[in-house]
Amino acid sequence: MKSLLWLIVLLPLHAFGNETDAYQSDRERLLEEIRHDFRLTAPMIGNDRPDPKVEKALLEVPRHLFVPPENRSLAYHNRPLPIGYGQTISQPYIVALMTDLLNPRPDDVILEVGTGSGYQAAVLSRLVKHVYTIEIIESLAKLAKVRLEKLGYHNVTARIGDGYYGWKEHAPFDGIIVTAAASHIPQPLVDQLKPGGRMVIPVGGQFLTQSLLLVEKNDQGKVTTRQLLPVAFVPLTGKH
Amino acid sequence: MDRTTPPLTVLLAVALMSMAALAYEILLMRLLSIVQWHHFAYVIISLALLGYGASGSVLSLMGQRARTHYPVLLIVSCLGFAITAAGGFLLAQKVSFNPLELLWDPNQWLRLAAVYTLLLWPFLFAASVVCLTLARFDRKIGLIYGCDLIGAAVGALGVIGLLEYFFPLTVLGFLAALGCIAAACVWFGLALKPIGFVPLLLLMAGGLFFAMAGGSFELHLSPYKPLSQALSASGARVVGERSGPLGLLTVVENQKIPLRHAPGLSLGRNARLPPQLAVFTDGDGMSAVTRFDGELKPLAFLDRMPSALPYQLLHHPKVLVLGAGGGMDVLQALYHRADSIDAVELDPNMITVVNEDFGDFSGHLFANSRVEIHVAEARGYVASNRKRYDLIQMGLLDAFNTAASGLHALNETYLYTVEGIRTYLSRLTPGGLLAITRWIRIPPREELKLFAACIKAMESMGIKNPRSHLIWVRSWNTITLLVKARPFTPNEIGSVRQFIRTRGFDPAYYPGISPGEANRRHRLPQPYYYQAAVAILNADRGFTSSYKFDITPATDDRPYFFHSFKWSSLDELWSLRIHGGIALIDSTYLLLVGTLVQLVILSALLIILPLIPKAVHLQSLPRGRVLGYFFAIGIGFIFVEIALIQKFILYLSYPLYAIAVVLTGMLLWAGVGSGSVELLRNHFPALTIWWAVAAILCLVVADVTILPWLIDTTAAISAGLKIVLSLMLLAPLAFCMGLPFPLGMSQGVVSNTKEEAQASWISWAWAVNGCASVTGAVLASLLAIHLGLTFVLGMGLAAYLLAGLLLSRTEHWQ
Repeated sequence: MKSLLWLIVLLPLHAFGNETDAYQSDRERLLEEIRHDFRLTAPMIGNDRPDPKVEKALLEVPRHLFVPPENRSLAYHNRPLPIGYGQTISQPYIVALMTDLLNPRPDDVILEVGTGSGYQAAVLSRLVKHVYTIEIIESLAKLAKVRLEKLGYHNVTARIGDGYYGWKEHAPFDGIIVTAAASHIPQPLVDQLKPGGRMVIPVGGQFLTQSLLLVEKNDQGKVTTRQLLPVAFVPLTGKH
Repeated sequence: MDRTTPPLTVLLAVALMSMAALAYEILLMRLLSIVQWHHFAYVIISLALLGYGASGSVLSLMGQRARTHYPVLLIVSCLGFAITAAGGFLLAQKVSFNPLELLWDPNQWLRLAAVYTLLLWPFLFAASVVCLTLARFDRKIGLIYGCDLIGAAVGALGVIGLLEYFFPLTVLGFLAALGCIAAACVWFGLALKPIGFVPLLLLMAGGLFFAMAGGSFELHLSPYKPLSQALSASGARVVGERSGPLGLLTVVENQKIPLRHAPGLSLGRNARLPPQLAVFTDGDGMSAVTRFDGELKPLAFLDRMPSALPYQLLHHPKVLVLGAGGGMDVLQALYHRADSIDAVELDPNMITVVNEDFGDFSGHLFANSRVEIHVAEARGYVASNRKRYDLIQMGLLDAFNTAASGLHALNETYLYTVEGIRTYLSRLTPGGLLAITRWIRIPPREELKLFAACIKAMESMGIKNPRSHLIWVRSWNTITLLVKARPFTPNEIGSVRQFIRTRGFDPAYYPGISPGEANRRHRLPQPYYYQAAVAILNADRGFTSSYKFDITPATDDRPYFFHSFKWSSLDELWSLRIHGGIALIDSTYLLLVGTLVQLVILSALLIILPLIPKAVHLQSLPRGRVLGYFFAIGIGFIFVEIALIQKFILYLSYPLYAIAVVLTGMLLWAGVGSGSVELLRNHFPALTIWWAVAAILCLVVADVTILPWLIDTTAAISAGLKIVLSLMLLAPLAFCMGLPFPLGMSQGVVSNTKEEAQASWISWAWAVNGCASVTGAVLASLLAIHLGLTFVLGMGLAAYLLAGLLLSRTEHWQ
């Protein structure tokens, strides 16, 4: 039933052109909040502002069309939102941070494991050559696929399936985003990462991002990880 | 009918309703732990229990009318319980309350309030039955209160028995049916007309039971629980389910998108993982059952996890696995050719799932010739077993919490306390290892508590230089701590370094580590673990006090291993919550504080409300004394009960024994005490509150003095004998704890009020006592977290002393 309701909402998406513009000021305000969070966390993440290209993408992608209609009024609040099926659309600040950590370039090919609403893929699609995205929840995958097509994100290819093995046909990837941490980092994904590539994984539960795991493969193929706190917090006071 | 003595069937109805109410409380904890999370269940139930206080307030406002309309009100209360016990929970499931959004979405608080409100009614109705009967038969208060306590005792034990054999919703049907049966007892006992209603009420009971047990209703798990998430994946299906008082086990298979559970697996070249099944406890706490056909080769991945570290230092060890779960640690021991493996698992259903239900899949793992499985609580097993091991391995089984199913247990665990670690170390062979693996949290919290606890434990054993006895190795998400009673040798350290190098892990600490080694492959913002290890080893008090989380080691007196909240950090954490810091806030603790605040406010309202209307004749007694007395005995009872439950968990090992024995034993004997008040006063007219208070003080002191000695000397005796010894210790104390309520009612309230005001006063005193018990339960948890269980016990005794002072001079009540 829920899927049907969503489809009804999705079908006339093309008619949302003007309404999309109506949210422009909300997006600009949200971007200001994101910039503020970046400034706060600069010592932790090594960057006091998102890349201008990432900022542009965030301003362009209509987040309100990626959240359920009942949460549309909250779409430009800097908070995660439920999207059904026990999944969430991440907090915009975390999306910005993860995108920025991938260091996307126009010729990049990116793999996303966990399409969710499709919002992260849509943001990435504005920054790279192509995004391949895989979702294990069938209903969610179908909705995201339709939504991305309707909204004109033609450089995103979505499919239902097991993200553990990546997408061998389109590998290697310049960057990989995994939207939920598992008990271990899948070896096939590490293998499908290009030398010099980066993989970003948020660690924590739905609604609660504890840290971001950045997996880096250097030019020699050596893999290391970095765990970043997405918050301006040092566990020790200044005395130590 | 004798005007002053309740008919036997009415007393039976009182006992039945108290039995149903206490059973419902325990069942609700189970049900809400399944559909939501354990700590939210605790919060919700704490608030709903205010129904006890509310019943007294409402009936106090009714005054004499509560007596005049006694039969009707009693029937309505019994049936009200029946309907709202079943309906309240089913409706509460329809409220789209998502606790994970509480810090994001203010609307969730309204939904939470709606859940409280729906679940409050059964308690209100059940308590009304007792309160109405106390007010109606005010000369037999001891007897009625005794029936209330004895009924509750049977409920506590009975529901655990029922949960052993039936699914929770079936048990809910049974409890709802008890309401109808109690109504039938009342109808019969009060000789109400037409008598034909009695079979009708019994028919209603049957109908309610079969409606709930018939499978028409089901539990709706939060979509954010791990089980819901696993089932939402394409191809996932439930292939098995087992229910017991320790939890609902759900086995999930997914052939399309297989489960791959290997915590902390190295990033290097790993072999493909064998097929696995996921076993969820209450929709959470996942454990994996790995396919095993006797071939060790497919298990090679088990050598590439930090938890494999001890096997690099031991050859063919005798292993003790604490928390067998789905069997991963047992497989790891088999893979490393352990000589023998004793595995301890708390939940017998888990063993059945692995060994029988999916025995072909798991290769009947626990029946392997080298494996011996024991159903026991881990700490208790080690304490009662004198066998020595080369390796004691504690894996990632947070669900293996001693008090996971505890009534008042907000994450108490005796597994990781200083005393617990000392017990494990004392069971190692010379050169043996204790290995504990934990999940990594950034910034680290309980991992540091564990490290500090190990150092304290070693120091208490006379080990002068603990730094030579510890090795700590981590991947990006798990960390394994090795503790050895003897110093690690250079050869062993060499093997550890090789293990770290070949698997791409990082050392957090080992004897002789250099700072540069600690944060190379899995880099953290700072080498937190190394810094903490060095600071804790150097006894750097400044580090512990300036660390923004509480990392003082857990002890048996403060067994809150998972508690790391510091008030001094709240300001900073709160300001960061929408700037990416929400996961840093220990919401469980704050919820507990929030619950206490709500309870205090609502209790105050429930207590003050009946005093407002002039129509209520509450002027004839000193309100402050009545309030103080019944509040003090409510607090005293619950504080002593909670502290003793926790102390006996250590002795009885198995938490269900402890809860069932202590709770049932105390309620039962308190009931007998209450029921004997009249008899005692006939034989000892000088019996005053001071006798009871003095006896309680002496017996508590005697019990807590004897218990540690009992733990030491009788750890190895059978569980049955332990229960007998425990009951012998508890019975005299509980008997005396049953005296203050009827003594206060008869010597304080009834004998000093006019006939027409008695119902109001009795109900009000009942409301005060109910509010005190409910608020006291949450307050006890908070006090225990900060000041320890002994302090809680001391405060309980202080409350009894205060009660003694307030009632000792009854002329002040006139």
